[in-house]
Amino acid sequence: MMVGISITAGAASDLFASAARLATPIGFVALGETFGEAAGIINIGLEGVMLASALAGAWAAASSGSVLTGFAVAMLTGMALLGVMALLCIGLRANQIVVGLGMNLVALGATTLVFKSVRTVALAPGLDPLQLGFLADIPFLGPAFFRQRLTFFVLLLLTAAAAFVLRRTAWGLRLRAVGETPAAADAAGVRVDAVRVQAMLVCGALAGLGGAALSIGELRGFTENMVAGKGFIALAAVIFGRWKPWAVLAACGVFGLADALQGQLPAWDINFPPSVLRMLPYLIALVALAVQRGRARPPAALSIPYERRR
Amino acid sequence: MTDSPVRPPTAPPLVELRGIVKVFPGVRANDGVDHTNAAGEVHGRLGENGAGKTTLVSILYGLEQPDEGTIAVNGTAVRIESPRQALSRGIAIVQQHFALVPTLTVAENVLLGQEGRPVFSAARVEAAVGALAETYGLALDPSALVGELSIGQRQRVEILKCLYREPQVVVFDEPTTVLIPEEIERLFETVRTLASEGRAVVLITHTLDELMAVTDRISVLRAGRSVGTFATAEVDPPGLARLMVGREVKLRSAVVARAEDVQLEEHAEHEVGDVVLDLAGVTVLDGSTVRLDRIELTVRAGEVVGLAGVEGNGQRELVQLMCGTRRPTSGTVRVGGVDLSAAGPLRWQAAGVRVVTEDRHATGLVLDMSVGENLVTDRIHHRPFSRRGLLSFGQLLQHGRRLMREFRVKAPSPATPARSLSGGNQQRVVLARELSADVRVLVAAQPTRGLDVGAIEEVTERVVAARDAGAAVLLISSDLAEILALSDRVAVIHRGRLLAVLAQREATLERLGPLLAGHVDVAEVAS
Repeated sequence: MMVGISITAGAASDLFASAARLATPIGFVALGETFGEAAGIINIGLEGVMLASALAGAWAAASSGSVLTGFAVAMLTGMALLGVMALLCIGLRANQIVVGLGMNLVALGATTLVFKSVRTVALAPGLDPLQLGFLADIPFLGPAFFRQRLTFFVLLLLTAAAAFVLRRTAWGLRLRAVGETPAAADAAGVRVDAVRVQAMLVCGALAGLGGAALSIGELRGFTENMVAGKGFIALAAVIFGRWKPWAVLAACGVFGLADALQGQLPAWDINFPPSVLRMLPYLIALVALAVQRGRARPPAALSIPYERRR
Repeated sequence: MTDSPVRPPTAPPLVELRGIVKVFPGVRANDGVDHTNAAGEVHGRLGENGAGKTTLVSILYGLEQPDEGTIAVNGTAVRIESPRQALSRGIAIVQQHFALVPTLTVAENVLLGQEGRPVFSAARVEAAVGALAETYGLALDPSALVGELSIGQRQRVEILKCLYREPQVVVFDEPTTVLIPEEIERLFETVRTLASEGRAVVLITHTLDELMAVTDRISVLRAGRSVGTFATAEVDPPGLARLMVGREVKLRSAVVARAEDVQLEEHAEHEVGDVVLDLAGVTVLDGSTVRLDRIELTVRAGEVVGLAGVEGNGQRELVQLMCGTRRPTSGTVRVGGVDLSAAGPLRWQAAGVRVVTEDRHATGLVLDMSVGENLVTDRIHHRPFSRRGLLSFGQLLQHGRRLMREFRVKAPSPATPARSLSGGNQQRVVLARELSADVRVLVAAQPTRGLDVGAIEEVTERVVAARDAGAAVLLISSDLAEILALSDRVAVIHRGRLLAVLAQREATLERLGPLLAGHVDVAEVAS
């Protein structure tokens, strides 16, 4: 099945370029979920949030003609949806898994319905890859990483910001405390629920950006169920990256690479059953999680609503 | 810290609670309780478990709202609706159950909730926390992860958290239950320092000698009611004990100096039989960490072997071994000659090994299940409780009622959730379950921890009764008085190694003290 070939530097560079491109939307979402999980909230509904904001962003971009408006609307959509989830999960102490599942089902149905009635969202303005001056001309690295879209660079900046916020700011400290031992944070005078809601809103904003990075940034329009599991991959990336922003980003890169292989192997005349290739990112996610078990420890209060004792 | 002048105890109270009433379903936890604390005064609150001490503290700290009564701070009536508000009014608490985040460093835990500025530098915070720790003689590494600290060290983190906020009122809720004698003495020095700085200190405990040692005034709570407030200099321990429990109890001091009297008093002659429990070269590794190191220990039928040692020196692993939830890395454990080294929990139980685990909340009970259910968790698959996979609730209730009566568990019915019971009653449930089975070996880990005087007496009697009935008893305790009072032989564990196994007459405080701290040579020289 495999034929002996030598992969040229150019081909490898192409592979990494498309890996970085495919990983970008997942990266935003995973970064958002890193905040949420650090605060003890698990969001199974990322897939749905991403899908809904992809649609909202594409619609706003298409009708305003402005990419920026599209991203802003997608971000607000993500925040609004997470606001609803916060109301249920924190305000009413509903089960986070159930709420997340509900979000996915509602979002898939609702976006499909809207898409079928508002066909214009199929075409939206998008982002073109940048050419970052001399950086773009570095052999191998240039084509792979410095001819990406703006979203890619924004993601790198946000990852750096996230790492700083979680480690070095009072809010980050509170976030980590609330996700690990909310009772201790409460006793120290931290408003547990408020911090968790804030973390969810950040998660929503980033998940919204992720959705728009897909629909506006990359595909220039919305199609039915276009997220196709990326929200779940983002969840896996957070675990794989052990709740640390840079490691989570690297995990997204691994999944992006698996995704990119799908597109690149045929170009290299390597025949591999396409159905197996399509499974690859998910397979890697599964294997990663299985290997990860026992080594990484999630925030101790993950998915547990906080209530003062007695 | 500033050297504020010590105000005499006659100064107006810094904090004043009047007529506090708090009703929980089925119990008046506080029923008209008063509490005043002057600046510079240590006010002790004595009471049995379930007397309402913790409820009173929760109200002062805003974790609970009183149904009736008033709180005044510095003469001004206030409402305290959350810990935040309590802290902003200068009230801080060192809680009985530590409120620490194990994944954060000492400095981060201290900083949490009072960061001051939005961005912080770890180095600067660690320096500040380190300096504060030094001021109060609390030895701690500010950059260490709290999850890796010992219990005594964690308590010091709690104290630092309080002090970092410059509180006027410091509440210690049962601070000594987890400490060894030296640590208790150090804690009391800190308490005295705090008072000498003009703060008001509330010390909650059910240990009389501690109150006598460090307080200015003592108030006694019984069943939610104030029974009286006394100047410490004017009361004697037996009188206080009577007030606390409302009946005569054999006063059993936790102060080690009195342990030898107790030992003489309680040791009666009894028969000792064959070796039942036999540990040979038992080693347990956790990765590369040695938890148990070539343990050699036998326990005979009708004998109590006390395992003394500061907590965290391998006792937990030993208990897990006896539960069948952990296997030795090398060595063998035999019960009645049968090798159980590779056996799971069911075979350990079948061999008659019954374990009272040290943490009744985590491993002793399923708190959300009823008392009746907890009484059968080990035998639920067997007749008469289960027939062809179906439970018999009638049998369960009947069994529950019988054991509750026999072991004096105070609860409305077997259907009451275990969570709602007091600590003493929860321990009675555990004992009832374990001792109502066939007991060849009884492993009792910290069986009286956190219990009041009456319950301690009862638990002790149960252990002695099991011994008299021919069980081999391994008593694991960090309370030397308890070890000395009950053991025929005393083994000392330190860093996973048995440093000595002493016959009862050899087990003196002079020998045990250094051994507990790991000084083998000193001990040998002394003997």
